[in-house]
Amino acid sequence: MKLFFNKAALLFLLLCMGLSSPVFAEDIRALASVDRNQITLEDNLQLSITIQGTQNTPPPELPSLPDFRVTSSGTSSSTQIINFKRSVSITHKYRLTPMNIGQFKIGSARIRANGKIYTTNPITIVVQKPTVQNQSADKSVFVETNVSKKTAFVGEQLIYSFKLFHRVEAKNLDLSMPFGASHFQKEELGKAKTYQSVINGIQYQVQEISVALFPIKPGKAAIPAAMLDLDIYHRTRSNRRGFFNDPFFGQGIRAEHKVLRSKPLSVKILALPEKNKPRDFKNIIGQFNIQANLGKNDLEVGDTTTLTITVSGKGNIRGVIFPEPDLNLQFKVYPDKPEFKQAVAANQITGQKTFKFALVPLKSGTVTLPTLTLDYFDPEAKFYRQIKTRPIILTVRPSSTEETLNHVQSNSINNNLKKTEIEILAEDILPIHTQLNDFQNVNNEIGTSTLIRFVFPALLFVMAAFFIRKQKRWTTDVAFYRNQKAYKTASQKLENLTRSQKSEPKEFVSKLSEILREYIGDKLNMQGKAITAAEVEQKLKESDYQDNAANETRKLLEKYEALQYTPVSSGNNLELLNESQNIIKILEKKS
Amino acid sequence: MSKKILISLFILLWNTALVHAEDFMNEVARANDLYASNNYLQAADSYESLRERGFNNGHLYYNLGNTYIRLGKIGPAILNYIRAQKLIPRDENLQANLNYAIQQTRDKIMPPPPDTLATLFFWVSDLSVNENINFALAINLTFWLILTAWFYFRTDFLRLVRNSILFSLLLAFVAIGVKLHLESSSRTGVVLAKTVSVKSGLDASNITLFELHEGALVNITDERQGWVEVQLDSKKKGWIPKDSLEV
Repeated sequence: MKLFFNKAALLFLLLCMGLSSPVFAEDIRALASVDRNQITLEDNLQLSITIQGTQNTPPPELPSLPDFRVTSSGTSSSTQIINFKRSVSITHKYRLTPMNIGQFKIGSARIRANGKIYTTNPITIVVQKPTVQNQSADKSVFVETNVSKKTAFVGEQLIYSFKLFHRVEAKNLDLSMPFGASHFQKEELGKAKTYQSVINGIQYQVQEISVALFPIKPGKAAIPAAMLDLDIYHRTRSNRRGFFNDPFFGQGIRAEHKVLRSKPLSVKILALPEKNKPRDFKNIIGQFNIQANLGKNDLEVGDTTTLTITVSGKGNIRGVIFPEPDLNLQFKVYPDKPEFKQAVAANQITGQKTFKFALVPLKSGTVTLPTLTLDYFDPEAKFYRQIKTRPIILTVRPSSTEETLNHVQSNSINNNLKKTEIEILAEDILPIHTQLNDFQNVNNEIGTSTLIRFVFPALLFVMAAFFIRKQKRWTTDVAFYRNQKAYKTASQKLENLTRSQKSEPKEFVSKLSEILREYIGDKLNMQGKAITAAEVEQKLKESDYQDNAANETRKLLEKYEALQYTPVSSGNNLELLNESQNIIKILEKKS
Repeated sequence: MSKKILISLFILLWNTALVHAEDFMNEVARANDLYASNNYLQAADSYESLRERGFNNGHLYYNLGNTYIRLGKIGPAILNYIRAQKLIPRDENLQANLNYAIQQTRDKIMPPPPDTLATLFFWVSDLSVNENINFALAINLTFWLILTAWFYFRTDFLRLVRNSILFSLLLAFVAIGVKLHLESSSRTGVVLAKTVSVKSGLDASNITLFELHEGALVNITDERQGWVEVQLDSKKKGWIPKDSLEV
């Protein structure tokens, strides 16, 4: 059983290897195809570029297609295994929207694969005008554009509307609505409106979007055709009774992609008449009203009141401006930022612009504020009009108390000042940097010096740690302390002994013996004075000293003993001293 | 004898370096004076000569950017501001001038927002590579000092400090890695041509997907056969000739 599974696993592995091996046997081919060769301006074309034999290629390089708008519509790949032969392909799909009518050639697309370039076959396409049936008879969906006036003055408001009429479901709308930017300024009029409309007895769903256009120069202005890409869904009824025997399930849905174009429009733009044109005319065009109000008509010197001027109406109201009123130095004037509210009523831009001036009277008495005027051109009446505010009379009384006056004045002026925003007159760059100390060359590379700077503290730490550890051992480990100090102590004692060579030979030998024993005692952490020469030899050997050194030490100690206990000492002090120093040095080296 | 030669050589090298630094300073001062006296063309030449001689400094790039703004060359100005940003990332004047320059461009493309990694290591973007390294060096030195102290006085407090600094050190090392990764992975290019058509493939005959204008900031994602693949967002991607932009 186990053998069977092993064989099966091996077979599966071989099969996988066979399938996953490169397709060396299959040639790479590039093919181009379209879903149809004849289309109308309302249709789209699907161009498919299929690369057979590989899936690992960059996207195809398409030929120049100035007569089409090209959008990618995805990629699909396919893998087939037939008779253990694997074939792969990848298809890049593009949607081509015709821009003109005529016969066009889609040139060869280029595909790079395995270091070679493959080209596709060229394809010829014929683009025709939409058929009459498409345009009128089959009115399941159509578009229409219109402009509110065919003749208008410069600056006059026009309404440009685009309408989509459809009897079938329409989705994925993509509207391109050029308006001739060289002739008009555009203002949006809000979202699209949806409503029902009946044309020739047929009910349509209508989606309408409008923009306001303001002509900017006289002449004949063309508004190019608008273009709408959309998908429409036709419900088709099949004879077959569907799921649950319900007619609803018997319906099918057929989707169709369409490109609908409107007709281009033209508008004649007239220059504003020069006759009766006011001086310093500000190009305000439309129909407007003006109104002026004063917050308080009775106030004291230093008190504050607000003069509000409101201009309302339809037209380019945003361009209305009022300078600070000239009040003959009777008032301090603090202008506020104008407020503008725009509304769209009956597909027309209407609005209201409010100007506020805080007035602080400087003198007492009865004052009449001068009227404020606004000149504008009325395109309906085709002449210039002037509107003005009514005169306003106010009474200014002397200030009741100076202190209170100052207090009130201060507060009110501050309040008004707070409302006034600082007007940005211009923008500029900040100055260059001139601190020469900051101009140091910067090396951004991580080199050996950087690595050394990282490693150096670690090396210092290792050294410090070694030192600290040794220091600690000196204070806590007696054996270590004695071992480390042994040589120094012995050397010191031998030096002292050298200075006193005139002492008695026996005493000298005794001291030498004591120094050597103490040295060995320190080295081996034991009581050196009480130990015999044989024990010294044994202990040294046990402590891994070389046998030779141990023997020499024993012999020297025995020699000391012999010299100490012979009746007449015949040793030479200097020779003994050197001998002792040598044996200590030997032992120190071996330790 | 050899020791004397070594010392002489060291002094000679040191003096040469000092002379070079002084030369650079004099040239910077001269360029600044030219700028102040509205000789922008000569000032730009002077700053550029310093750059070409290998002088690498954020304030130099900033001043060069200002000079190009004055000359009306928005593309090179933005390019030098972006270069300066890598060296002096917290300079407020630089940020203000970069924003101003971008507003002067037709495309008004702002630098890409930080990705997840840059957001996670939020402090990395505010430090240059050198600052990140110096920060890590400082923490490294502190760590070994604290470790030495802890070796001598083994207290709980020092152990806590040691562990905290070790964590900071590891974080600083990762931050250096993140900074280097961000610097190498995000290749921001600045369009220097007045207008450049972004093509669907590596050839001028391919369809034009969209157009970019001088000063547009793009992310370079690939480079082949004299063309670079640029990306603005997930939808706007295509190929432009390599000589139409600079990194």
